[in-house]
Amino acid sequence: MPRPNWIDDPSISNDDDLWRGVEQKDVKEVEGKYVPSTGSFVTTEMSVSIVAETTQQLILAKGTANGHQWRLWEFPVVAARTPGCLVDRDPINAQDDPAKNDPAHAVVVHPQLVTNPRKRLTLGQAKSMVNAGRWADEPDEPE
Amino acid sequence: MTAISLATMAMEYQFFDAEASAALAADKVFGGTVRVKSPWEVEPVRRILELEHGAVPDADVSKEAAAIARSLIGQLADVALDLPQPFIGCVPTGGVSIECNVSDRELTFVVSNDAAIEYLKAGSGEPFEEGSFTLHSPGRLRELVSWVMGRRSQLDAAA
Repeated sequence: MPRPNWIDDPSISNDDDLWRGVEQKDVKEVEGKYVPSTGSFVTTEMSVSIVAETTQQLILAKGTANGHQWRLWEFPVVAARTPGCLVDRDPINAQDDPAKNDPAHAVVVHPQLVTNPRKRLTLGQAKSMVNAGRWADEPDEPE
Repeated sequence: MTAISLATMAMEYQFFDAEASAALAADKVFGGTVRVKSPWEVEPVRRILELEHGAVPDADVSKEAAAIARSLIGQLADVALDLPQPFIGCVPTGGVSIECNVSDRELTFVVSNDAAIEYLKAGSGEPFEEGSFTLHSPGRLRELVSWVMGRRSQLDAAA
């Protein structure tokens, strides 16, 4: 259910990481690497989960319970905030199926969504989160 | 399931609508002919048709957005047939994403279901540029494509 009162939650640190579930149809190959498409992040309330407060297993199970086969794209909160997005908590407590629960659920939104319910993330904001991320199931690349 | 052939300049297509098949327990086939001007356009246009006709789960692409996206593909082909084929995806809020990547530069167009077109220029070490785009503005399109192809030209020149 859309909420009009999103805030930038100060309890979520810039150093926290977020996971975004990405479906295979939204993955593209660029210079031999697979990355999420920029357009797949262009939405009004982008669902994410706070990495420090959940596990890959739980989030992947949530995706399956909702009919999605995800890979998890991991990026830092600062990659959302730097281009102006708000990051707010939105815990999910599903009554019908515990597998859909996600206490670590949060959303990334455009600040103008507060006054304009159709305001979505911009392409630049989406690209910032794609550029700053990596697949959660892949090890860090050596510096 | 998709079957496409490129015969002369007409692209014939038919594929099953997965959602309709599931709902009706029958294979509903969408088919037709779309004219394209070059083989370069076939794959992107096929993907747009798949998104439009529900062959991709969760894709929400209006007929109008699909028509504009196909037109934009044709215009890209007019400008630069040496442009790598773009990734064609869907946008969660409805519409088509056309993403051209060359080296570390990306030129993305999003055609929304309300027919608006937005673009993004994103290059490594360069500030992003985004804004609205109007169909049938070949000069502007040529500028954008030249920018995304520029990095390849620099690399080719250095090689």
